[in-house]
Amino acid sequence: MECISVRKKGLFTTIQDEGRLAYAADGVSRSGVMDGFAARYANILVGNPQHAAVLEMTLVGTDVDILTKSAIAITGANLSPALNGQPMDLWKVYLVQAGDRVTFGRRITGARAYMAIDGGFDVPLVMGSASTFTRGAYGGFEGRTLEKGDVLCKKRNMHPLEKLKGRRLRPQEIPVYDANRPIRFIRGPHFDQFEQASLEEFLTKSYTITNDSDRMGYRLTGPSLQHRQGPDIISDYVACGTIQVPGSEQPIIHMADCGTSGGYTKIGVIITVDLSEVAQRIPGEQIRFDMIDVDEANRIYREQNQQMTKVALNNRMI
Amino acid sequence: MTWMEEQIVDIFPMGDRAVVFQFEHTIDVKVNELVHQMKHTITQCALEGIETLIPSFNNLTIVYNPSIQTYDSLVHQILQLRYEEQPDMWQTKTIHLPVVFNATYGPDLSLIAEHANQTVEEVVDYFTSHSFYTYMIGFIAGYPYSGDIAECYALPRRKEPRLRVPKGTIQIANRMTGISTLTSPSGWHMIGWTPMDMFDPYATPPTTVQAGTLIRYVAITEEEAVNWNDHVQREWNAKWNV
Repeated sequence: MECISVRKKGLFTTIQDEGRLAYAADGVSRSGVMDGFAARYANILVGNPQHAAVLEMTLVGTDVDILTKSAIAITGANLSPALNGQPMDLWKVYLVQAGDRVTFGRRITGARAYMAIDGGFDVPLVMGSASTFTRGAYGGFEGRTLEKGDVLCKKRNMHPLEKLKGRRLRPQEIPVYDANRPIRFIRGPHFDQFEQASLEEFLTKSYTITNDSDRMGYRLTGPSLQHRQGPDIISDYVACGTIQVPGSEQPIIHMADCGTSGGYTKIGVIITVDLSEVAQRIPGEQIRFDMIDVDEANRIYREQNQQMTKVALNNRMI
Repeated sequence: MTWMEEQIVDIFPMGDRAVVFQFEHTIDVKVNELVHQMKHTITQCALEGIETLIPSFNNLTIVYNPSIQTYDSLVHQILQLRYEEQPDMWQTKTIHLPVVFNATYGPDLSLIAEHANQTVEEVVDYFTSHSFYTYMIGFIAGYPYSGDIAECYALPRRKEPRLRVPKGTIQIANRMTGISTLTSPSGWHMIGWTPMDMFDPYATPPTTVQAGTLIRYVAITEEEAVNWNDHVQREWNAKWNV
């Protein structure tokens, strides 16, 4: 069913879901939402499965006209959303009618805003996923970012919309994006291949996100990370969140659209929960790194997952 | 310790959702076969909480769900599995690729020939009379790292990558050969071009070549290459790739 029409395209808006991890062995990029926390909660709020297709908007929001009665929720970055000119809260469900208009304005915090709609956005699946991979021009809405005039469809939602009205995330659950918060990572297989002095810098100093940063990866600049034996390794799998250090001695954080293999040393891999934090930082902002062990990381992941499940169950539609 | 466990030189986490089983740090078909054998066995056993398995030259990455398995529990279970010493799954198929080898489509052919102290014809003859084993698919969708090409043709990657190498380019670097599946920058040496589609996101499977496949280049003329279409491809597949 047609649900929204694009009035103003925004900077870089695509349809994403959890991505196509199952095809990693075929060299296919995972793609999918950059901030899993915000995207999943947007879906939970409107009564969708957590990984239903959402709109991911980058820095500048996409203004849309509503074409049919719907429930929407906007999470993640605050890009000053407004409904018919009235400011909207984030992390909250709004019931909208045909003829309503959602507009965006100034960026207040964060980098990526997510809009979920009841039922989830409906696009043909490519390799099992609704996610857009712009570099390969496939997936999502015609394999590209949204343009003015695009009309999007949503799937059928079994829940009566009235039951979704007013649902919101409790204030204590809502993340506050803070560029000073260190990003936690697991030691990489080549951690010991760096000079001791470089490792000390890496663990204590800040790195700045350069303009050369996008869905494929964030290029950082900061203290040099010197290799003991050179940057080359035999190519193997690069997971999202991998911090790779090529010959330039400057780190690159591989993000959702990264290639699946790489031939340079890996100093660490950012934990899943903190990747959502990284996704909300913009060029010019800093990142400090904090190393933790895998047991603690597993625990952190489970805690967040359990919390999301609890919220989803408490608000379950009968 | 099982025989498989004896082949493993290291086990380590890759972030909080993946574990890597590392075999000997080398590029060798026997080591690569171990990786695939491990992958095959794990797939057959359907362990809980495993999301996907990604083989590379000499290690296997297992992506798991930390809400179902912890790092330690998963490693323990993987090591307990029964691994057959004689792999039963390795039915190596050969994919024949139509390739035009000339100066237009393979601008580095003469460079390679000079390096090997051969004529271009001799180089083309080598590349069309040997099959190359695909170790892994990576870099970008469907890109097959295949080898090993003869030592005499092994040149390191260009210092300055070309900004735009067309999709379908047959390229080589060091002891590997590959076929670019997307027009993109590349530092590898261009020796020819294939009109055959190596990657189709809408097909099942989306890749023409998978790990373990043998690749064989078959020379075609430039005229055949530019006139390639679906009909010709179907005929080609019927003849070469059943």
